[in-house]
Amino acid sequence: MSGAPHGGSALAAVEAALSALGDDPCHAFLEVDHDGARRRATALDAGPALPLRGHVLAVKDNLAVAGLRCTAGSRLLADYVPGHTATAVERLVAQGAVILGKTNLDEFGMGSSTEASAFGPTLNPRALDRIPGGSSGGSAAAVAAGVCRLALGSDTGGSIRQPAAYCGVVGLKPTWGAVSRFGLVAYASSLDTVGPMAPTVAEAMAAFRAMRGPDPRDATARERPLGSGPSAPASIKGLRVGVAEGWAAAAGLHPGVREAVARAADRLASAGADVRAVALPEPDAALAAYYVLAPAEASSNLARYDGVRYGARVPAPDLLGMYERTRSAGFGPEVRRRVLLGTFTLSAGYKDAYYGRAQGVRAAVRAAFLQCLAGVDVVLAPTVPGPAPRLGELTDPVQLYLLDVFTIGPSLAGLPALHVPTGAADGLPVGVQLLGAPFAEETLALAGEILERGGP
Amino acid sequence: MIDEATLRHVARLARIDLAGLDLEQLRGELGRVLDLLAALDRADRLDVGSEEATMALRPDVVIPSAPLSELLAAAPAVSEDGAFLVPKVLP
Amino acid sequence: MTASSWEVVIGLEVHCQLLTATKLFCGCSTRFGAAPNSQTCPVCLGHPGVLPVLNAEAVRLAVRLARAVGGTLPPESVFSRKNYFYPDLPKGYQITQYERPFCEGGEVEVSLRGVRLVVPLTRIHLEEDAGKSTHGGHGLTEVDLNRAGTPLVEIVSEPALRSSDEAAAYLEELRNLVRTLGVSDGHLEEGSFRCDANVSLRRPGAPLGTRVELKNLNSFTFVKKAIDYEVARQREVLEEGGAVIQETRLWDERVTRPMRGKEDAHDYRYFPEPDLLPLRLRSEWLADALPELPGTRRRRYVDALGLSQYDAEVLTADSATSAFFEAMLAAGAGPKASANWLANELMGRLNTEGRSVSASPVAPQDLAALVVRTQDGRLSSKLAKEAFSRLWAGESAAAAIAAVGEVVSDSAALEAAIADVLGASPDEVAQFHAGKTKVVGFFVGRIMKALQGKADPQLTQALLLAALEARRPT
Ligand SMILES: [Zn+2]
Repeated sequence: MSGAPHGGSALAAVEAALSALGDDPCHAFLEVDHDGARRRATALDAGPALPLRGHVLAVKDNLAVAGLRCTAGSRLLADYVPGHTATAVERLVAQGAVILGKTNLDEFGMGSSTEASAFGPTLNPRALDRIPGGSSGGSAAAVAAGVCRLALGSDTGGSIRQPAAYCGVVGLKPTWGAVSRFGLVAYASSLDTVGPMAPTVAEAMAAFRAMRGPDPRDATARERPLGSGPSAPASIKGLRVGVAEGWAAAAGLHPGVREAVARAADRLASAGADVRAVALPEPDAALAAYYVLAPAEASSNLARYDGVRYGARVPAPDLLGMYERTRSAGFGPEVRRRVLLGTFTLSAGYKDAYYGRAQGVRAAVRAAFLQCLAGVDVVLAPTVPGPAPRLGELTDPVQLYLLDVFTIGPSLAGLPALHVPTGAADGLPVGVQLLGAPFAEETLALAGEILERGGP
Repeated sequence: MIDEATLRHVARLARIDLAGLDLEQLRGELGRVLDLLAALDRADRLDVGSEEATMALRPDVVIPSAPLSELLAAAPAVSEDGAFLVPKVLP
Repeated sequence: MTASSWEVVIGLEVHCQLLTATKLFCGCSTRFGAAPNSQTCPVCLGHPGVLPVLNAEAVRLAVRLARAVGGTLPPESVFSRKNYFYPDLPKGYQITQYERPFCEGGEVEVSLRGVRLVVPLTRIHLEEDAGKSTHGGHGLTEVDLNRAGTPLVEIVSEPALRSSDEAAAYLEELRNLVRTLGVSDGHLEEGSFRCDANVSLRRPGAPLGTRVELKNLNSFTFVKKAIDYEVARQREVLEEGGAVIQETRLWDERVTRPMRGKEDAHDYRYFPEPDLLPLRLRSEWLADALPELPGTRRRRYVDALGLSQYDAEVLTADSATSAFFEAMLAAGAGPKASANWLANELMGRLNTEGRSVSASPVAPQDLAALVVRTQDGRLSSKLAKEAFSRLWAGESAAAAIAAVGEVVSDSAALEAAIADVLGASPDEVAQFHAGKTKVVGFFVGRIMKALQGKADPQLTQALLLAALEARRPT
């Protein structure tokens, strides 16, 4: 990273962030920890220099920070205060980052616009009549509005990359298992990842490097396996870049996005990359598999919200009534829909046709991506079909689901994916998605830094 | 399309109260998602392979429990001796 | 058709708590009897954002049991989620093993009244326990989650048992096995060894009948009573032309009754637990040494020590008994005599008083000393029984043996006593010489009386016959 912001003064960074935030006109934050941030910054400035000192951190409100409410955007958890802190957050704090507050999101990460938050929508700082995307809309907006240079999001089917695209910031969805999920309120565990959002690739990568690696509290978090291919190439020269031409030619794709992909391919080629066309699996199969598997896991992950040990309870004379009323009142319509859908696709008589089949499709999608990535180091693809839609424009759930058509496949395959903003279309940010083999984040960063520098 | 009986059965399994919801609208929304899922029938499938990573295990060492008062403070109803209280299965 | 033409089919599912210090997926203590919820954390309370991390020791113990029953251990096993709502199930799902358990097959050899019986197992899998719900009088249920997340193995037998006696014998054997292995403490009262029974009836050779699952079997006595009750109930239903309903019934003191409140059709929606990767078998778990198992020991007692199957069964019924027996052998007592004294005299007396071998007032070394003296002829069985009573009363072996005195096996002393008795009974001596040999008993009685019963019986007999021959008129 080129010099810490605010000359490495944590307190100066916090004051600047608070003044940039003002009264949070975009409603990026659900809670701002003014006092805690100032206290922590003062203590940090008195101590030894740390790599991330001077960085203010916005944390998506589905990541636990001990002592701060963690609502996951749900009424059910409106007053839930965890005693534990997410490993990803803990590792950034250990390197000197100061937590500014908790950002808005679609309830439990289920949504693509942050309109499905129980606490009201977030606005896109680039255009206030637009959605910021979701589910990490609050974190994307916090970075785009210049409040902070680092935010944490979570990405299950596009929830970091898609809002990064709509808000014009960098967003990294790491390899599944590269960053600990401890402290992340689970949506769909086999797809959930925690990743950074930042104005630059370098800042996002600094955060990723601080967070990644095994964690004794997450049995699925791990190192890049030994012998899993070469580590990051030292230079863009000769880097094999595949352009997902089928995706970039998809019907309904906004011309600005198509152009962004083409321009990015040119930039990488002129920087010395070896650019060629590749074929990625058709997105509709991945989309279908995702909308079976994610809701199925969600129906189980959200079973713990039963009004017994924490959270809001709606009383009833009998146990069943208490359960049903608590959960119906606590969950918003989108969460309710996905819980019902996931329960249905796992239930006796339907499980083989839906859950079983979707598992098989996921395995085929994963194999197809890996096969494609065996021939190239990076795949260049669109992140979203077009610039940010207007608030309230998309009312049918399925229309919203289709915003994630290009981000879901890499999620199913467990791959790292980096969104890099490259310009604007219709006055709104556009960019591209870089995909790599598992644990190839450094390679993605190499190509991403070329793209954000502009040119050719 | 999910018929109403199936929807009610699923809602019971999921402990979601359907009272006050527009069931026709809900069935319509779920139906459109199920239409999306029809792509599964046409798609290629593979046997689910094995994960190559090896899971790390935990040593059998007691970690002192979190302060009980903090954990219980989050609960909607707790008895004097520290048990969570819920309504009976049958009132 | 007669009632006896029904075949009883029983399969048992045993939940056995593993002897670990901490829970299966978190670092909370598994100690029994703590204040409600005092042994919980965000993980076992199912808080948002926390994850399970598997306890290596639980797997090591489970693998130990699997090896002891000769089960097949696949290189990889998989955890699944079993989804259902209940207040004592904090996450709304139980992490268990479903399609790919860590152990398949295996068998447990049981000895029932001297007959060997091999019970095949279907599988053993690892899973977490639920908490405890107590239904109070105030319309509320109290939930204590100290037990939630405790490591269990579920041992599932094939439906191969044919009577409540076989079922009880299998359970006793299994409990003995887990205790011998150090895998579980096997306490039924504390719930660390629990049993559900699947019971059905059929005509011999017919396909399996509809089965009923019996729960709440908290002691071996209840297991027998509940199965006997259930067999009688099903037989009555079937013989009246009715059909047995597949259901879960609870043992409630004298009867089984349908379990209420869980009418909700169970659809557990199993799927692989995405928070855990597949569990890979480690070679170190296969290397660790197993102690001699009850079945092996039983075979050794029969084959090498020459004991009867029945005696071997009694002596291996629990580890305290076999340890007592082994200690007697180590003290120099012979196996058959030791088995006899332990199984009949000592255990008979302990049973009468409702005590177990581990609470015996007689030490194995003392009982062995007594057995050694009966074997070398220094104690007659009559004297030995007297000495045993003294041991039971708390005397040491030395004191007890000294008090009853040793057998008179000194030839001179015996010959003197014989001469006295023969001299005082000339008529009986004449009768003997006339061919009436049964008077020998009369002489022995007199000699024993003269020596307060301590005469060595065999030597006395021999010397007496010699003395009578010497007196035969020529
Ligand atoms: Zn715990």
